[in-house]
Amino acid sequence: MNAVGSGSARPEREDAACEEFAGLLPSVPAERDVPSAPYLHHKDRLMQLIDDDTADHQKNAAAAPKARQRLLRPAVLMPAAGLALAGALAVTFTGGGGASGDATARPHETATVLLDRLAGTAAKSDVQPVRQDQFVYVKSVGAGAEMEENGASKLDPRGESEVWKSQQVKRIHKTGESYENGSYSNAYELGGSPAGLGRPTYQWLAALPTDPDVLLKELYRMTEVEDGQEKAQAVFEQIGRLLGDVMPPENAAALYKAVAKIPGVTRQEDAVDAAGRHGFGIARVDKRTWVANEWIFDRDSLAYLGEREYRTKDFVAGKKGDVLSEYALLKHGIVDHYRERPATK
Amino acid sequence: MTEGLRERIRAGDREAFAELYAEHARSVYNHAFRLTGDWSVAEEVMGDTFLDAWRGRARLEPGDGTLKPWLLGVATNKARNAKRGIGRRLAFLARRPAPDPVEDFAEEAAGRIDDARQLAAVREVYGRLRRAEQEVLALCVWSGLDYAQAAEAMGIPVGTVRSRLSRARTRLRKLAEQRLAEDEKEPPRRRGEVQREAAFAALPFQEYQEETR
Repeated sequence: MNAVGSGSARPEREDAACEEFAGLLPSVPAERDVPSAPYLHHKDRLMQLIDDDTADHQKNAAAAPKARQRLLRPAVLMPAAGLALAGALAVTFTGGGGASGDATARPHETATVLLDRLAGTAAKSDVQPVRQDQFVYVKSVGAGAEMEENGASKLDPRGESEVWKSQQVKRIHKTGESYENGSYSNAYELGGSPAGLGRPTYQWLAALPTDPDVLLKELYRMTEVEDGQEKAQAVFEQIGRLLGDVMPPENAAALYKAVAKIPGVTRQEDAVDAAGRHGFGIARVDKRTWVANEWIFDRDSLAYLGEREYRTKDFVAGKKGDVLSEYALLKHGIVDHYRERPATK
Repeated sequence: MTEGLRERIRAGDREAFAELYAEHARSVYNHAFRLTGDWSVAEEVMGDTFLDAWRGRARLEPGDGTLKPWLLGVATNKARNAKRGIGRRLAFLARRPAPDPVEDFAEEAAGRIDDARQLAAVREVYGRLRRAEQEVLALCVWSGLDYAQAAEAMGIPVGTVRSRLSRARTRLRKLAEQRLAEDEKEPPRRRGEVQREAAFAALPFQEYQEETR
């Protein structure tokens, strides 16, 4: 038997076994120190969380510790209060995730109408099937904000990037390449990754149900929720991540129709993407954080332009209207090889 | 190991968490990198691991053993979640410029890329194992936990650790043999630059003692 819980050097027999592994595998990279800036940043987060929880605990012994923050998306619990929003960013919100029945009814209707038009346009779009040996190319510009525990955030400078996503449905290890700041890098998935919600390929998307109700049910089943996040919000955001992908017209139409069935979805008259393009917005507010996730569509063509996240309410040092992330799809297409760019039309 | 650290952690002592962080941030960070293959993901996993440790302190077993298995166990789960969906990460990359270059000098960045490349070579082989086998292997072989500690980290019996490692070993041996046979067929070219010699130097393998016990 092995020594249990000794904490000291492990038994020799185990060492021998592990050395054998060293012979069976190429060597792993040498260990590194945590770079000092992130080291301090994460230490601060930890200490801040401890202090907050300790303070909360003193105020309210029943308060459960919850997720505080995630990059780009603060998960700070806010007291459930009425939501009255207007003005900032020239958007008009009248409801946060269906928090109040009457106020949301009307915008929800208009959101439904817009989503219906989006579905109609998508259904008529001309999309050529994508083969598994091809790649979806996406060029985009975007920025994210790093958040302080007190809610203050600062949007990083915008950066352009290009990605090539493999369309193989089977489990693959190298799933894509990207080009950013003058250099290419590979995306690997440890243990391999089959096509799926996290790696949606054309063929995988094409296999999704086209009945909006069935599709929505399937998306609810597949979507994983972060600590304490409302499922409807997670599903909404998940769908948003699929919108920039290439899929058959009927699947795209079904996605928009499915969104129309999610409660709390609103329509914005003026929304702006990371490239400064204005259009209609479809948004939903995360009730935990009062952060809106908004998709932007061209007013005329109804093409998907991009996405944005912003505060709909002040939070300590964070102000209503603070943009936490923004994204604009600049160009996409299908190519036959990594690092190949679609011809400019 | 700091005296009584585990008890102080269980009691929610602020300073104890500061010590825990100072002592283990590095090993958590490196473990997360070996599981995810991405230094920036590893950094997030590391940060979140300590937040989870704080939140889950009440579930920590009493005793006086090192807290490394506990943290690596949390980190293993975090890494598993962080890896879900490269599309998500690609999308994320696409909408985010490179991280703040405060300390990311060119040299450092190049080092990171080399690491990722080197790890990719490891993964070509390691990636053929089942996830559960990969995780136990990473804990025992790369992070240096003993079997009992790996069992503690994963919340599984010691016997399971042993059998997973044994299965992993059998599989890796087979792969190495296959590779050897392939290389003999096409001798002039060696695939990949990373020393695969190491894998062959150890051949032929002795039957592992424990199995013949």
